[in-house]
Amino acid sequence: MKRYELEKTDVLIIGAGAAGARAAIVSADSGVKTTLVTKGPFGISGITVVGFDGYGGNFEQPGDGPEFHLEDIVRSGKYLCDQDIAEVMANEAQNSIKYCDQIGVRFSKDDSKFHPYPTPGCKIPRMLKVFGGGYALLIALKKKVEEYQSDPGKIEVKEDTIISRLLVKNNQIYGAIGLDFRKGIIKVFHSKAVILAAGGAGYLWPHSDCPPESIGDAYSLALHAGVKLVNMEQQLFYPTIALFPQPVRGLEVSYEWCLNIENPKVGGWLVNGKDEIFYPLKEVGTRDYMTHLMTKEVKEGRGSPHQGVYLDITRCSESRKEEIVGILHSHKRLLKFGVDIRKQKLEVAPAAHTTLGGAKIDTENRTNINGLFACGEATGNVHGANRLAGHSYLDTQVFGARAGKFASEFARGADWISVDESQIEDECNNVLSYLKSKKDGVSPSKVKSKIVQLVGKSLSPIRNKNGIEEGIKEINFIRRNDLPLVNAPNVKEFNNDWVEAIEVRHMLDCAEMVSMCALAREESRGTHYREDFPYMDNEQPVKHTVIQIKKGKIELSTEPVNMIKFKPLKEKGPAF
Amino acid sequence: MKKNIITAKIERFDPKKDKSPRNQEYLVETDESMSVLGLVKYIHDHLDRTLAYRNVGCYLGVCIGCLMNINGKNLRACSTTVKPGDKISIQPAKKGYTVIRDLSVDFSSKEKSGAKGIDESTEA
Repeated sequence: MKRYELEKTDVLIIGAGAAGARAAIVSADSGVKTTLVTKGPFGISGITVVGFDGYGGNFEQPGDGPEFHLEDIVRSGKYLCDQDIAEVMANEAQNSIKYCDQIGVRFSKDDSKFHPYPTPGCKIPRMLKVFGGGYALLIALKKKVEEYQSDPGKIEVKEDTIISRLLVKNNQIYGAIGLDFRKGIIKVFHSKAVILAAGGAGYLWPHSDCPPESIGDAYSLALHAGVKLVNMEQQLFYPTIALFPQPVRGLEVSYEWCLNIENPKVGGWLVNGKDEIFYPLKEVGTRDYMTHLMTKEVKEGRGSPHQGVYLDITRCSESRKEEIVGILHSHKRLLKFGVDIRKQKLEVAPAAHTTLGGAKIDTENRTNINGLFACGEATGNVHGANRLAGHSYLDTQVFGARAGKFASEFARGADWISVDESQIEDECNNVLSYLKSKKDGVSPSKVKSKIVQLVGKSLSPIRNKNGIEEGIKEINFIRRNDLPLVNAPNVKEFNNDWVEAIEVRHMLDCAEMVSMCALAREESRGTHYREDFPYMDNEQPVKHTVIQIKKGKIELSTEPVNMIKFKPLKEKGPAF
Repeated sequence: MKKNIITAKIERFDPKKDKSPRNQEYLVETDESMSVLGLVKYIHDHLDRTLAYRNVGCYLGVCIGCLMNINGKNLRACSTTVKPGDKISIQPAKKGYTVIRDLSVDFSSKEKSGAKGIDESTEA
């Protein structure tokens, strides 16, 4: 009897957030059989669900256009994005917004004209409000996917399935293997092309606004497939995520709405544990800078009781307060739990938000593995060392659509590669081994919290060599001592621990990659700040940190960044 | 100091094996209020690893990933609080959702019709 179930499809898409869903629509539209795999229920899992309410772009307004937009992206990303890739995003921005508008996403408009809001890091207003946030965007895309589902054979959605390995032979992808945990069976998806759209590792950090499933599946899968990953040290934190009281912990309280970007004097403000306003004193900066300042307040002993700071709008005028709560998406939920920010300061702290590093792609979403494409948060050379507000959705829609296009084109011209039974056999053994009872077996959730604790300590927004090296030691210790003991109860259907056991492996890989890159980048750039190298080094050519498995070993190297349009001043200067 | 206790009665059911659902009682020592989702996660992680539930979704009251039937009402477990001393009954979401195992349900069995089946007004 076969130990797995085999399914054939032309294009396999892993991850059904906004990027994966968009890729599926374009792929199916071109006529190839498309399978969309997701770790949870489609439409209610993935990071898009918790996404904020901003969509970035460029607009028909004086002094705007793709050129100006690109300059904002490059400068705010501290010259670490590949500019040919970022240029694609700027060039395609208007089309992507038009598409979303067409499928029913509600944007801020005056009459019928888009109404963008100002955001830090952009010379002119660049962010539309998305009514209903990421959930609304995802539901609109899901409705579109359902149209193709009702046309049999176009899109198949496989829910409750975690992919554990990509299947690669001679540098060529031929599918993926994973666990359908609803049924408790191993699935092999045999395909001509694969799109990796399961990015995001925010849940590796103790304070995160990401859902629990965002533990970095995409990066671990890419790593073991031989993909080149870049800039894994770049983890964007969102500065103002609620920290306390407990029921609102993790809730985003947008500083884009609570602080005034055009006129910081009218507030709100960030206030430290000593009740001193420390931000903004003059202007509101980008997320990397705010995160740095907030972390510094806490590190230097001026934090709030739960090691954060306060977001304070209580000092604002009554009319300003009403303006803020009128536009603030999370006000209703705060009120539900008895928190009225008009009357009380709110404890907030930077939370892991977007993983900026990931698979290196070219302008047609290809990775270095033939037939393997990537899009959305899974990629690592789109934004650089900081991401502008609203630019995640832009990324998912531009590169999701393009991945769908190029992967389906590839699949149409490709031949089937035969399945390598020995590879599959190995992975079946791996996945099934977790169900064996083990003497001194440990639960995956215990090991997961160990990893989260160590990442919080060694890879916080302010880092240093000793800390990162301590972290690496702990990762190696967990790999040697805990990982072999991880097991799950012997239950087939919907076994949470079985899924989490696979996730432990992915988390360890991610923690290791982030640590290695953080150690290698001996400078401070964007979201990566090294106490022992507190300057940004533009005297040397700006480089990507690169991670790739070679002959079974994780190797680190560097590669120059593509700078076809803008170059920084050749100097070694302050980090911000 | 003696800690306070939350008593949770959880419906267990494996359609492949069991003829009918049964209730299992769990006692959780705590001095703090928590969300029902937090309570279920605690029970799974510390008391009974065979308990099935959905650990996905927004945790913020936006989606319905954590929909459960709590004290007879379909509610988001992330948005419903339980405090020390409480007795609480937790079942899989009712109103047409198919149970996969224990508290995990198949959302595709219901969501296409557009009906979310939440008894909204009683959430925290």
